[in-house]
Amino acid sequence: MNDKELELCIKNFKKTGNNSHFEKIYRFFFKKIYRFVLLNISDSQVAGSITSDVFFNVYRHLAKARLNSGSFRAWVYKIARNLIIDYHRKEAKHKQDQSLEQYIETRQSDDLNELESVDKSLIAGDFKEKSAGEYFDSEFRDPELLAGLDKLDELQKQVLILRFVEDLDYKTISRIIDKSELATRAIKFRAISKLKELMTK
Amino acid sequence: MNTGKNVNEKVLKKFLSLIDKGMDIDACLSKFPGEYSYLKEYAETIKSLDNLKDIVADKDFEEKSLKDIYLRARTEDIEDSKKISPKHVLLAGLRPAYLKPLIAFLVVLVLIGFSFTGTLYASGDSLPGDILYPVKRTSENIQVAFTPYKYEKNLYLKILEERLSEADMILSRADFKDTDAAESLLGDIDNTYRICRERKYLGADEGEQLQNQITAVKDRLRNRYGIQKSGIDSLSDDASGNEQDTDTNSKSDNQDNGQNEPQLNGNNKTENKNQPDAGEQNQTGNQNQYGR
Repeated sequence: MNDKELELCIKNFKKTGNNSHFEKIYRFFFKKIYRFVLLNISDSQVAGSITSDVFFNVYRHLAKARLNSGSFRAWVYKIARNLIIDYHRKEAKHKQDQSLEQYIETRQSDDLNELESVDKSLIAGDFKEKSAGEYFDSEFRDPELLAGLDKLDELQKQVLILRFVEDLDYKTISRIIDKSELATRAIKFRAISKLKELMTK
Repeated sequence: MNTGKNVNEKVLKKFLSLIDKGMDIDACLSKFPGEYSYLKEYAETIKSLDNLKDIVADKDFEEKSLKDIYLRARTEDIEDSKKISPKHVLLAGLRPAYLKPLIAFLVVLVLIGFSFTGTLYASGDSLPGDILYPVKRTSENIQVAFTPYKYEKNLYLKILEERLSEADMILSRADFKDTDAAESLLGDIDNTYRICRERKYLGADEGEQLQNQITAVKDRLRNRYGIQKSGIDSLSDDASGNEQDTDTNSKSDNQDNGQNEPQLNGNNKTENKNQPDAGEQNQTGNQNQYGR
């Protein structure tokens, strides 16, 4: 689907509200958004659920949004990015609550050795997280790359994915991450350098 | 060492910018034969990122997700429609863009209405010489202008009563020293009474009673404020007035009244004193007082 076709679909959906126009947009973007979310979440089930949420939001608000093809792309990815951030926030809070509960339970037990080990784990922030590769479907195997991406900052990771996987231009990426084009280029440069270092180690 | 790093960075930036322009990675590498080994690792990293494009979602999941979206949207619509009351439906028809100025306009209208009504209400008890007295008189003139002919009788009698009650209030107030206002009021009473008499709004008994009342009030006002009796006023010639031709349009009658009676209001009073052709002036004054 090129820009003209996309704009026509958006226009027709706004005009008629016909689901067939939305379905064209959905089928064009679903794979891309799912891939973007999955690479950021590393859990196919959660990625599926978030992708579904992204398109639900698009479906609900597209009629009111003033968008052309370029801004529409940025808008859809931005929705996805916001949902990813929300998910990470919830996860972090959940982990924090869990570790606190675990800590209190352990304190209550009389086993001093166990207590010490938990204390150490809390200080080190070692919560036995699953690595990204463990979640991915079996057909995709590049654990080094995934591990490397996982070690990047969230922003660096997203910029690399948006630029080299999703093939988006800098203008669109800068809209998605709310940075200037120049800043986006700088982030990409640092990210690719860091990823190369991590992969060659 | 540092310079070498900088050179490498510059080469890398050029290499990446070529890729950004859509050039093939291997073709880009071939452009930098001297830095091939340095750039090769970057090229591999980018290629491996490119391989991530192979990630695909399950086709069944894609279909299921689409159905879920429609289902959720429908469920939300039903829930929303349950929440919406008829009042909301009515307001929903008005887009906020139109609603805001409309509400602002109505608020301003209500405020103006309230202030106007308040001023009118406040002017109800005003006396000649007060700031709000002209408002009261203007509202009376407007009332006269918009009242049908058959209801004018009641209105004029009401106005006459109002003037008399104003005179009573002035007389009851020891601190009222405005002689001009009192003189103006005398003229107004006289004029209103004359209109009532000419148009035969007063019955014989009623007329006599009212005439006595007016004479008493006028005398008291004259005595108190030292106002000279100006020749023949509308009451002094009452005996003949009842007999004389009461045609309101009769010029001679109007001229006669104008020559002898004091002016109808404060504004015309000065003109009357200064202009020799007072009868003509008075005629105009009579016609203008209530706009008829």
